[in-house]
Amino acid sequence: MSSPAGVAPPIRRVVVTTAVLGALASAALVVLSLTVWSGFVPTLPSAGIGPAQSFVMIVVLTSIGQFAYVRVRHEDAWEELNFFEVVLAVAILLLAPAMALIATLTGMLVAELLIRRGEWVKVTYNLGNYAASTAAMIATYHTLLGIFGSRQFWTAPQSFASMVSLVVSAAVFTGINGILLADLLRAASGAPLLSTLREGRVLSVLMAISSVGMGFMAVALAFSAPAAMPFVLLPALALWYAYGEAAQRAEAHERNDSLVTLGSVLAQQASTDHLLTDAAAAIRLVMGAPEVATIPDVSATLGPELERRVASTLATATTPRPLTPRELPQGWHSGAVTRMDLGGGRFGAILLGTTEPRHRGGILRRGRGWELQESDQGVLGALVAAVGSAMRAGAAFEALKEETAKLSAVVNNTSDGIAMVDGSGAVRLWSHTMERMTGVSAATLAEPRGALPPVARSIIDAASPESSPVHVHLVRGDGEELDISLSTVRVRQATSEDAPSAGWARILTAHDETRERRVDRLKNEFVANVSHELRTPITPIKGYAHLLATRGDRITPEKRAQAAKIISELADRLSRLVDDLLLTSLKSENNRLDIDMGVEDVATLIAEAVAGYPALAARSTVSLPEEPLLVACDRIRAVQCLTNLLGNAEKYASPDGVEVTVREAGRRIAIHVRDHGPGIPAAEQERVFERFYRREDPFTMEHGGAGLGLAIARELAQAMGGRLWLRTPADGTGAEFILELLRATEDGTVPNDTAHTRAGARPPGPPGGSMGSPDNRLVAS
Amino acid sequence: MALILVVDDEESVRLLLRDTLELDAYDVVDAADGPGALGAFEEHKPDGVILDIMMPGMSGIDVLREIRAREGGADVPVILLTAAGDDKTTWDGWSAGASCYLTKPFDPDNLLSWVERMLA
Repeated sequence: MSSPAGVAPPIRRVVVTTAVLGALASAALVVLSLTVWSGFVPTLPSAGIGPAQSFVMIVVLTSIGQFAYVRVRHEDAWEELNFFEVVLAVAILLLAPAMALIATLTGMLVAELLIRRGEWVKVTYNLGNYAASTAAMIATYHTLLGIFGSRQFWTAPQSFASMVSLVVSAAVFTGINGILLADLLRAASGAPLLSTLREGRVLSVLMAISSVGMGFMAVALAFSAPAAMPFVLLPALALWYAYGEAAQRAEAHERNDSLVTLGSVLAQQASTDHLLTDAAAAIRLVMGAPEVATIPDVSATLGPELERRVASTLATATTPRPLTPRELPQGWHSGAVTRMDLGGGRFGAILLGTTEPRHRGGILRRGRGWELQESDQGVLGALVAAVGSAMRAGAAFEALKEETAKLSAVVNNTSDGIAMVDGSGAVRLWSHTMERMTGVSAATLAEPRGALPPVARSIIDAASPESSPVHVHLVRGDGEELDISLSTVRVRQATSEDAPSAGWARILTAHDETRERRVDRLKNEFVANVSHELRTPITPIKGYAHLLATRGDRITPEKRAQAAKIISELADRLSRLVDDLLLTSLKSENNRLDIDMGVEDVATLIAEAVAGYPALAARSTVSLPEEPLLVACDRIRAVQCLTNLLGNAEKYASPDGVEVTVREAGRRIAIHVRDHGPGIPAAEQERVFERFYRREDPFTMEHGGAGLGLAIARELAQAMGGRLWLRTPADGTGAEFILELLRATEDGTVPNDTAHTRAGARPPGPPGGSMGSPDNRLVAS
Repeated sequence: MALILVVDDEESVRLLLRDTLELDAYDVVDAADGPGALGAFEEHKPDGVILDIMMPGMSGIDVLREIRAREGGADVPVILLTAAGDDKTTWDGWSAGASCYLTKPFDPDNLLSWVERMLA
């Protein structure tokens, strides 16, 4: 508060009000003194001192009294106890009312000017407050004395009346002083006026009265028995000493509280974010310094000017030391700095100090201002060292957290599931991959072992370091089957509070082999299928060839013809199978098919494919378009594609035959092959196009086949720019395969404009529209 | 003349077996699946059975077990035929009570010599 401009408006208002009040009260007292109490005569037993000397003495005593004070902590506020009331009592007894007021206020003004140089707001407020309080006290005293009927007070009854008046007026002084102070506090911090008054009332009144009492005794003794004066000083000194002790005890008590706070701050060092600020605030309380500043890491920043100034000398400073004037932060008058070691050559600093001028120490040691006491150096050094340790621990903790986060990211994102089970069987870690693989969440596993889901239980029970890796086959909660390869290692586990009995932990790595195993299984099944498919036609071929060769003469011509037909049909079947196998092996090696694109009429392709299945064709309906419909395709591949579809239908839906229809679908031509077999559930409609996929167990299977036909058909369709898909017909029976090929024009181009294509095409007829028509019925012999 | 029951789901194989056996003056009844085979066994009480293992629904080994459990079936010679020559299938076949075990493709002369030996 160096200038009124820096004062908040509410406070300024209170200061001005108080000053005006003080001025008015003083003026009123002067007027009363000159009129009503003009006859005041200090009656002294041995008047060796005149009014002029008394006046000077009061001024000097008041000034001295302002310097000598004791701060006593009372509840949450500080009481400042000084000699003002003592001197005031003496002044009232010795001087005329107006003179007493002027003398005390003058003494106070001198002291205030010396103490608070430039702080006009404080000076104004204090003068205003004391002028009002003092004027009220003097007026009360003289009024009461007047009521008691005499101004001659030194005879016994009068001195009693004077004493009572003094006590009552001291209470008035304290009351007004307190009200004005509470008003200032209300303006400054919003503390309610009444509660502030209530908190301080008893102590303040007692202190004021005892001070006044001392003044009274001092005056009485000084004038009646001056030789006894030293003896009145003894209880006075004892009293001051007691106050001082109480003040120090209160301060020590507060320091202990702050140490406890600091301890808890250091203990809760989960993060370094608030640690330094919290610790600095606690240190400030412990050391009783009004100001505190922290430099988190001198070597890291060296940015602000303050840090540069402090850093140069701090590197070598091992114990707390006072700040040099050059090092003082802006506005500080004095302070001390302590280096805070952060490890690795890095250090920070905590600065304590005050903005109040330093030379204003009181008569007693703990006065205004703040300086680092020699006795506190050790404590401060130890505290800051502790904060430094906590900062280091906090930094290590942060680093650990970061490392843990990295590790956890790795553990959770590797393709293998990772888990850790401690010696007591509790699951300590269950990675995200493990969660996905098993469908068991880590949260579920936090429950006791009895509640483990079966899948997790199976994995944990199977994990044995002795027989690692083991293969585990599981059925997940959702019914999915799971094959995993489980590797287990044993690690020494650090005992912790959570698991005191744990000695060895197991770390499990689960590699998901479900897919690999399924492929393996499919391949094995494929080999079994292919072997069966190859041997089955070879048996009759070889057998009949042998019969014809060895017993040809005994075989009837009809039987011979039948044998030849069987051999020929089975040879065809073998040939198709070998084609499929070759195609598959080509496809798996270079992943692409050689396609020789051309333009073909759909009807030709269908007729050619149907001709390969005479028996099926006899039971089937094939509806061909009346006009040629051209598609872009490789003729051989397209026929093979259709052949595979028909072969599939023959295998699974032979008794009822199939219906083959052609529909135009924008820039594509769709060939529908619909059977009346058992149909394919929606869930499997995509899987039937997987290689080696068969809907049956190979050893009880009803139908032959290697599980390649549909996979090859789809690959061929896609290689030709078409597609092959499957749906369940509207009536819900059988299956309908749809082969779509790109529409082409005569010159071999593939139009990509749908509207253009439609212009020249006739609309597609209803699927069953031409059924039964003799022209469209293709019946093979 | 001895009556042989031939069981195979593949028509061409049935035809081959029938022609081979008939040329050697056996009588032949055939069946395309397990239930058919058991019905024919009850009806015709054949002197011997040639049984394919890999058949839809009921495998040849199941049919063999069933025949062995039936009245008059314990001592009937049964030749198992299979395309799969793996150990497990072979073992299952022997333990189910097969008299003889032939793999496809088989030599008709070989088959006939086994039939003859068993019926002797």
